[in-house]
Amino acid sequence: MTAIYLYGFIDELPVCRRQALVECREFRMDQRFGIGLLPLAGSHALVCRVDEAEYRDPQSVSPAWLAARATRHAGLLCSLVTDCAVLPVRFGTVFSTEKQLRTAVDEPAIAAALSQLRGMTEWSVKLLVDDAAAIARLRECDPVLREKFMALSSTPGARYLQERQLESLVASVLSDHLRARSSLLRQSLQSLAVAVMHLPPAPDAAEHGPHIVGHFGVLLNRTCEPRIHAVLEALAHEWAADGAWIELGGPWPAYDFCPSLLKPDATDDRISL
Amino acid sequence: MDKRPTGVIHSNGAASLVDVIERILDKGIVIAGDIKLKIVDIELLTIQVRLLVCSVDKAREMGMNWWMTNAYVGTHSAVPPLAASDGGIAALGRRVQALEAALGQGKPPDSEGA
Repeated sequence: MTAIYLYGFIDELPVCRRQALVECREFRMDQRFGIGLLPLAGSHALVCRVDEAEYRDPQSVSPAWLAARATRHAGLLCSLVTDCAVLPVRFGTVFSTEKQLRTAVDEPAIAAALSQLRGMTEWSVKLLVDDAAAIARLRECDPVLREKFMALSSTPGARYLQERQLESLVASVLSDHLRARSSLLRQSLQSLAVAVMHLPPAPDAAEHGPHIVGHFGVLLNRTCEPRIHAVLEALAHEWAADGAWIELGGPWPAYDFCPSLLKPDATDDRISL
Repeated sequence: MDKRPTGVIHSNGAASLVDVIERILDKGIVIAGDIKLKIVDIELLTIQVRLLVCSVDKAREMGMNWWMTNAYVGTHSAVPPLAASDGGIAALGRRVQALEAALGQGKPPDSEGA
């Protein structure tokens, strides 16, 4: 038996893109079935038929299974954000029939949310810093620190203790410095974006080396994208000598700016991480 | 060679699996489907996928950072940070300076007094 996997909702899609969507194999949840557009009131549901048993049977779920389907889910929605308004649905939303889907979906609320998001995309902006480079720059440019490093004792024992004290001082100065940079970045984003959200720092790829100082979700009007890119480019160039850079991800569907559309009688048994 | 980026890095083309997982599983609107995926299993798998990609950082994020302070494991734990304002440290510094000065003059180290 098959069931209906729901990726998300869109408003209108150009006819040429519709055909491409049906023929596209890359983002199919099940290679046997094409991606479909289910017309709703004021929107379309993006769906794909899947093997119902696969989603009911926990034995079929493995990290590889999950990773493959999560990337297809994300890939489809990302491929559409430049063509239409996209409202992403959380991974793993499956219905046994089209009727069940229509019952669960609040069609006017979906249409209203898509209308609000029309012409907008979400971006993620991360400010990263290479601590070693940032500290080296501080030692070079901060007059107080430079003086203290110059005045280190020539005897090894006293020098060792002074160095440890200086390390503590440098860490404190660096922390204040990076906080100020993160705050300035946020202000710059707020001046041009529809909305800015502070996000928890995503896990760094490496234990040592660069770490994330600030991580923001930004909802942008597409007409503002060139301006905000220019602002970020200018900031990144200004801060490059301090061992900092900006990482921009997007355009994404508005994952962090979705309205809550859960119906009062519906339940969500997910566990927060 | 310094490989640090010097401008804005656009990460969309090579969006990491972690970024995708974060968005798809934790975000997006919630609509209750009538077929229930074993969500608890999915959450555990999500952690496994994340751990595969960034084990140390994920563990830290979850509050597991015991190795940072464990003297037998951590690389940073042997030398605790010294507060600049700590009077005891300043006194210790003076004591070390006095000892080193005494050593330089060929006196026994304990002749300066505690």
